[in-house]
Amino acid sequence: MHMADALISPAVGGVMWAATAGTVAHSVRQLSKDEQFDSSKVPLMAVMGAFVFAGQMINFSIPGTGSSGHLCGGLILAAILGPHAGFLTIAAVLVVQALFFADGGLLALGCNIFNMGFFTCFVAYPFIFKPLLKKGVTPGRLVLASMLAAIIGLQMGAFGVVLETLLSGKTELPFSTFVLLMQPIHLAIGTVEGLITTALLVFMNRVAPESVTGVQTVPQAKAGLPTKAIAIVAVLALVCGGVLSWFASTYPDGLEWAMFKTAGVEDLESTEGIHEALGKVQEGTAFLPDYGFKVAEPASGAAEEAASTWPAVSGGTSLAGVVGSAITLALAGLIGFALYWSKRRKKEQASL
Amino acid sequence: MTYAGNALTDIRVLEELAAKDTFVHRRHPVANLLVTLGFIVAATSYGKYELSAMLPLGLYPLFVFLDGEIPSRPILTRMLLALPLVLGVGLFNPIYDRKVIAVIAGVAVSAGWVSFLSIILRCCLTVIVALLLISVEGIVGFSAALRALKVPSILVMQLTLTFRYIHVLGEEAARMALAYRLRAPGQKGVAPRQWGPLAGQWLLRTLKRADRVFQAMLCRGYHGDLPQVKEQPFRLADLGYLLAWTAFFTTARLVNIPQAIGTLILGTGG
Repeated sequence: MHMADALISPAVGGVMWAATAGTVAHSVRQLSKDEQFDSSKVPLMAVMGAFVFAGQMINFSIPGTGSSGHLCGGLILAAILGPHAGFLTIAAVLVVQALFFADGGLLALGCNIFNMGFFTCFVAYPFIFKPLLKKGVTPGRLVLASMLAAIIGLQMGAFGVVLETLLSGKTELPFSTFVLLMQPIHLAIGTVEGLITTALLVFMNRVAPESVTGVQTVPQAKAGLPTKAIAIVAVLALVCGGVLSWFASTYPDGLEWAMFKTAGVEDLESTEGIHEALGKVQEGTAFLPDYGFKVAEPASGAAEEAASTWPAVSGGTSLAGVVGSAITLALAGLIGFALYWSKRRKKEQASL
Repeated sequence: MTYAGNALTDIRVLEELAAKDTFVHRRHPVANLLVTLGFIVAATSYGKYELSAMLPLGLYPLFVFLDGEIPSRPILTRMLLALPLVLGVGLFNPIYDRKVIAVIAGVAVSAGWVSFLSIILRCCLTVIVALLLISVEGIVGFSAALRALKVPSILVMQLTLTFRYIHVLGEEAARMALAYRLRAPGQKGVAPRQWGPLAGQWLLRTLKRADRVFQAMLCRGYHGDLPQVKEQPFRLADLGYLLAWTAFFTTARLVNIPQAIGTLILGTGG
């Protein structure tokens, strides 16, 4: 469920960063207000983060499937630490995963923290897990609460991935296909997550009930209103981000728009001064001035229509792009070689 | 070695690279972090059919690899592990986006394949620079950059301590997983009836260790905040480094440099 930078746009990534930063700020504020939260909880949160991180290294076999799954951890953190501390802890875990394992990108970090932390800690935990345990913690209720909260939390997270990816506009996957791919697979993953969380919480509740503080101490009413407000803001932010990213992909970019507004054309042309001089240089350096590949001939009406719309790529531009890319790579190689050679020479001089 | 053991070794390898003393390593953590973020924003902001225009961005990771003396193997291995998900989603582009946009050397090129390759290139570039950031800064430098950027200290502490404890608990998890595997040969994963007791016992040990760790921290003067180890002033050279790369990313984003070079050489396609 970790999203990569390659599949999201800066608009969506930025909006989700903002939503996540807002949730982090809210969590920090709530923790500073919480009288039961003191400095001793900080190492506990960190150790729990490391527990979830390391717990993802152990594979649990899934009965009847021949495959195995691992703990994701959002709900277990909320149950042990409470939602605010749990959210900060899962955020830290995801940062470490992104930095050291390339599990999710840095721009996508906001999306990932939101999908895996917000939905479990601020939706599934207060609105599903806690109410089901309101009348007291029994093994039966704990099983029901853990399973439901884990599955629904992960389903919401998976839906978040679908929305954020599609709003970014990098993939051609239709909404319905993507949803049908993502939701069932995360139903299976959520079930495994729910089973592991259930087994762990039932065991902990039996052996050391005082450890499961999130089940006992966080009152329902306290967590209710702010999380609702955040959920509404987050949904609005998602919609805004998506609309912005659609505009970004359909219409000219900001610079072109500004040029269009100020000059009346999207690409400025100049026939004077330095541009003319450079044009002459170009004529002089072009060793294959009229060489180009044949442009694709539209075979049907649809192809004709496609050719007339963006991206309008001609054979000439393709060739120029290919040749230019090869030269760019060669230049990069030369720069790299020069850097390597210079460093090696410095080292040799230092060793003399 | 187990998967868990491998993962811990990988973490150590990247962290140890940060101890080097090169031009890139000497830059202020904030400069390195902002350059990385600028790079990622630039790379992800390209249109989905842009491929060659993105290539010049490769100069930045190339520079960090060479100047920072970062071995390519651990970085590229991690990058390959990050590819399957992106490949899985990206492969739908050639299926759904079949309009032919050019014929090169008699081969019709569809827009879907161009956008697919663009996604792959974008993925490689963004994953590499993120891994290079931690290879240059380490968790200490990265945390220092976050603190300098006014990220709440509790979150930065979480990050630092989580990272430190991963080694402690990860080794314990690796030992438990190995012990279980030795007692259950040929079995795939932990049997369902052992899920609770195994993870639960491990969690109990974790909580007790957290308490011991906290006591040890109190003995060493912990008062709710961790002192920053890597403190250095933000020098003019750092500003220059940041501005130079930002200018380069901006130029590479606004001007299709390979296209311009190709046009300059061939005199076509402008």
